[in-house]
Amino acid sequence: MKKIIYPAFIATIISTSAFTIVTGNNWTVKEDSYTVKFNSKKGKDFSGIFKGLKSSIQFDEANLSTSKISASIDANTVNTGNGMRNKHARQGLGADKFPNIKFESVAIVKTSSGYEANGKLTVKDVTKEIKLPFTFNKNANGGVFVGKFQLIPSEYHVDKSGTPELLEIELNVEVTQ
Amino acid sequence: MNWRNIILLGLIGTTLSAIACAIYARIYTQAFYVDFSKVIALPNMIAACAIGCFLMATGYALAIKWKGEKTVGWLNVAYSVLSFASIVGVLGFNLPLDIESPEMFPGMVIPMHFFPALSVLSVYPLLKSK
Repeated sequence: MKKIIYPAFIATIISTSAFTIVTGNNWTVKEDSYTVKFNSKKGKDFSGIFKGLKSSIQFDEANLSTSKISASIDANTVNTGNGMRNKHARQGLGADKFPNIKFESVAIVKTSSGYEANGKLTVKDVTKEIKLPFTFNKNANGGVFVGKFQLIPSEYHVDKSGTPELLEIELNVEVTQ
Repeated sequence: MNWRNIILLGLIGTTLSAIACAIYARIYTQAFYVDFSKVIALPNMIAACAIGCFLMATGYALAIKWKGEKTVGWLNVAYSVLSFASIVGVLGFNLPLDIESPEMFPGMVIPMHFFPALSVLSVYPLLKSK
């Protein structure tokens, strides 16, 4: 009997502790408590937001090597505050053929101002490596990821007439564990 | 047309068009499950109707004083054309980003742009005959 109990006891402790570690790093985005906003920085002046964020966030400030962020947003949810421009933006993004805009981190490193996620951003049929600087502020309910980066839409084949030449993407994502 | 009738035309026009706007907004909101109350609340609609109707009523008075009754027909055409032209502003209007379904906004607001002209053009012959 002892032969069975001891291995079972050890297995239980190992699996429970492993589960605790994984849960401690996993963050879930709070429903409707995030913004994925873009602002035109060059060219036509307008801004907009995306909804439909789906993400998998494993982030541990003390152990960045095991941290990983992958996220996608629904290109069809683009909202610029103007119906005609929304249609134009959806066409520019090819949302019917490429409904998701995806980011997947390859490595997360510490910087002087916070962190930087190096990863691959996929828009339409183009995947490019980008650096996404962000900060993470823990609070009583979880934490907030705040990030900002710029991209050139034409590099991702988003080049319909009227598309801004340069976009700034702002992310503000509230998370819980 | 005296100033009393001009004010009366402005007042009746404002009342009729504001009522039409309020009814239409309610029907549209309930039929299409949209909420644009943040950008077009009832006071805004009344104010917009008042500005439009009183401007049109004043236009009648000034035109009649300047060239007589024969200008009224052309003025009516001008009011219709201006109402039509004003929809360009609606199509280019940017709603706050937290308002969903902005593509439904023109369908609600464009008809409203014709209500002041419709009410003033309808009421004018009644007041003129007095």
